Amino acid sequence: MGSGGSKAHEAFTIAPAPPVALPGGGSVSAALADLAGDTHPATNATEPTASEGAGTARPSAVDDPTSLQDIPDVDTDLAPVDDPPVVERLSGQDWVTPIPDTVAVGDMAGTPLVVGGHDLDNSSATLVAYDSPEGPRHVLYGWVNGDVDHKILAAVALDDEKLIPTQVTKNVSGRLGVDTDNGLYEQLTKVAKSVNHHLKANDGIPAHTHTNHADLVAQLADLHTDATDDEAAMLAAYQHSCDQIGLRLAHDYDTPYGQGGKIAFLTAHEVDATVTVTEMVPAPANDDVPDGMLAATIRQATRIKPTLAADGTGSWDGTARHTGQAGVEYRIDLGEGFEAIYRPHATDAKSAAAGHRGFLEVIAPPGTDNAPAQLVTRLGQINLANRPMTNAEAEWTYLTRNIWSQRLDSNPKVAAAVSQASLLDDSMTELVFAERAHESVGMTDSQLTGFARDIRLEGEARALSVKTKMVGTAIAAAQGHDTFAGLRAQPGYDPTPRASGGWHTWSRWDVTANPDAIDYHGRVLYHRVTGNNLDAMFANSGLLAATERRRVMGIASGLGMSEGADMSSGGSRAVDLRIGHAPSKGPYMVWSNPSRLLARSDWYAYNGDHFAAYEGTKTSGQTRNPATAAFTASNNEVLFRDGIDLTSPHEAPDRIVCSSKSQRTKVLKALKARDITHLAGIRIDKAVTT
Amino acid sequence: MTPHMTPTNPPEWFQTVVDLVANGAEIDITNSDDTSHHWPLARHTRHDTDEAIVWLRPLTGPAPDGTRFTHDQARRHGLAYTDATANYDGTVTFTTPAGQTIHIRAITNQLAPLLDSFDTFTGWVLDAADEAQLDRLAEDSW
Repeated sequence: MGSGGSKAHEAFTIAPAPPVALPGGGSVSAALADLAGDTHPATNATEPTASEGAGTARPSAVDDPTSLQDIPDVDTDLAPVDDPPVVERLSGQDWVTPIPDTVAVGDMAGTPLVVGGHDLDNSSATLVAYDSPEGPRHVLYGWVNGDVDHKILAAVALDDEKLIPTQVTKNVSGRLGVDTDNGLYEQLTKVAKSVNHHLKANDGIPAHTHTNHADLVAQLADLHTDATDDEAAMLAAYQHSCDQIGLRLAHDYDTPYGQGGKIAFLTAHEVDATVTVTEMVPAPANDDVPDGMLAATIRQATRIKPTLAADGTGSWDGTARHTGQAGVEYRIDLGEGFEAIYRPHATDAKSAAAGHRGFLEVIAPPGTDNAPAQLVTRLGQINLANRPMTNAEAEWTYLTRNIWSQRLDSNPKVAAAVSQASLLDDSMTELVFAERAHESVGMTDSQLTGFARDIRLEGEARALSVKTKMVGTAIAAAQGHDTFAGLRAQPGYDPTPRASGGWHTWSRWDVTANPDAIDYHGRVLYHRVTGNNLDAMFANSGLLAATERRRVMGIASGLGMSEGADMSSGGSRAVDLRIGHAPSKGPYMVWSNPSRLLARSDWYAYNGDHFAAYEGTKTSGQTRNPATAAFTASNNEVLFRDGIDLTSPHEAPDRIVCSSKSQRTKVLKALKARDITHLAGIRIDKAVTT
Repeated sequence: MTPHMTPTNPPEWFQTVVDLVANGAEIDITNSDDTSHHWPLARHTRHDTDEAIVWLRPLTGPAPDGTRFTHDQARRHGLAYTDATANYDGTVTFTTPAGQTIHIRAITNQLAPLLDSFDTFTGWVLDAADEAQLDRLAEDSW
């Protein structure tokens, strides 16, 4: 299998290794089948005896018995989650991104981490430490790949969440009864909307709006007579707004709508109060959880609800969530105060928002020592690879990203290699099982479950390096290289992912080999934002982040967005750029050489708007080829997964065009606050213009 | 409200679209695979004459608090058409290059509350500058 071998030696034919019986019984086989997503355990009439299996196992997973000698060393230290000590287990390796000892508290972009294996989308996870009165609350989050649901299901004993009524004392904010009973705010809103509408249209304010305004003013005056202090404050606030409306109802009012004429928004008046209320809270976890399984409940999906302070610091109290989101989620008790919350891809989850499917949070209790390492290790409890990615493994992800972005699997040899590689996980697991079956003698059911999990993870880890060689060799041949080494040596081949915001990106060698060689016919990549959002973007995070990311970050933006809304479009996991000639008017950002961003391997584009037909995964009319992405239609779309790091050396725009001098000043101030002196190699005072 | 229009000369049927969205309209989209969408339209539109594109803003989801919309719920879309017809019943019908059939018609009672919520968002919650930016139908994010 070595890269220097002949093509005959590089023909990988995969057959499952002979199943091996367990000395103490078959429960590990069953558990392994669960982890592999099999519907039937791997047993047959020719299954060897225990002694045969343990003693005669050989690497029949490949046709060349000697080929496994070429498998690079892999991490076999995939200890079960309860194997201490965590930090030592995860240190000292050749990781792509070592687990950080600490994560900056309140940094909402988070710290990106590349996780081993291929359970997570892009193998990418994000570590965040939300500020809270009880201390930092660490959360690891990422999107689990669609074919991994079964692994998590194999670890948990699901039960419908049972809610019981409980009286709790809590601080609440709400409108006063005299407001809601009389619909005062609703009346104010109706009058203000009408006045603004007719001021904008300049068509005269109708008589009924005058009447409604007069009625509201009279009602506010009447209610003032017996008002409490809180009520008086509410009435005064509403009266002030009515006064502003009254000015605009006068015949001689002539301030233009866009120059102060529009009535300023007023939120409904609310007061804080401590009240005792009856809430439905989850009942204690089911005691009937089978040994070795994790207690879990199914409930309607939620989203984490952090708060972003004016200084950009994020906080979360550990409980605040947007409830009532589409789809379902599993709340999994990991023990010792840790929990995981997962939105499955499968079955009835189809009703879930596309960008929310597969979203996983692993949450540590406040005050956890070594929380980042603890969180990564806890992934193993739900059968996911629970360590950082090794540099060797990174190459597999790099190849898969390039297969997707360059559509390399349109070549039959590459497609065949990819297909065969998909069988390797099971095959390698059988092999590891054969080698280690004797270790299971005397294990309890719980230990056997952990042992099966351990074997599966080790099998996948070993398979990964074999798959890399197999598929890499096929791609090399398809692209005219004699060997995989030849592909690896070509300019632009770089399997190292780049940190971008709170995530990682992987490059594509067809662009990085010569980024300036692609003819975009003078077109640029650009993105137009609304005025208030441009400076807020740089002040808050420096990221152009996809909606789902922004929600985890607690970022509302320039148009006063709510973070509680449902999103049905897969586009919520991507940001949308256009390619063409730069707009005539700001605010917008420009990437003059589109290759700066198109060198990423996660974008896809359409020469035209799918006009509501797209679901983020629809491939009709989709291109991933930069040479054909120099579109002419102004409604084209170029979508990038997760977002763009606007201040990174690799992704920053080279021009930011502001709508005014004051906006330019704000953007420059925000950049300086982040110690950013250049964008794409250009001094910021040159790159930021009006 | 006065819909924002390009200064070039759009086709005659576009005035029907302008009037429809100004007075409250909805869009009915049938894809080539027979899936369909049915949404209210924000009260602005723009026609790119050079490219035969009508820019519209379908409102695809409710604002949870009744007033504040996200970009995902109200993003602009460019309707490229191969054919467009103003019908006698006051509706406008489009055929798109992707094989979709699209109708724009006066809003029905079922969808009117969602448009009213968006009217509250643009006409009351937003300041005039942000409202004007949405009227231009040119933004890629909020």
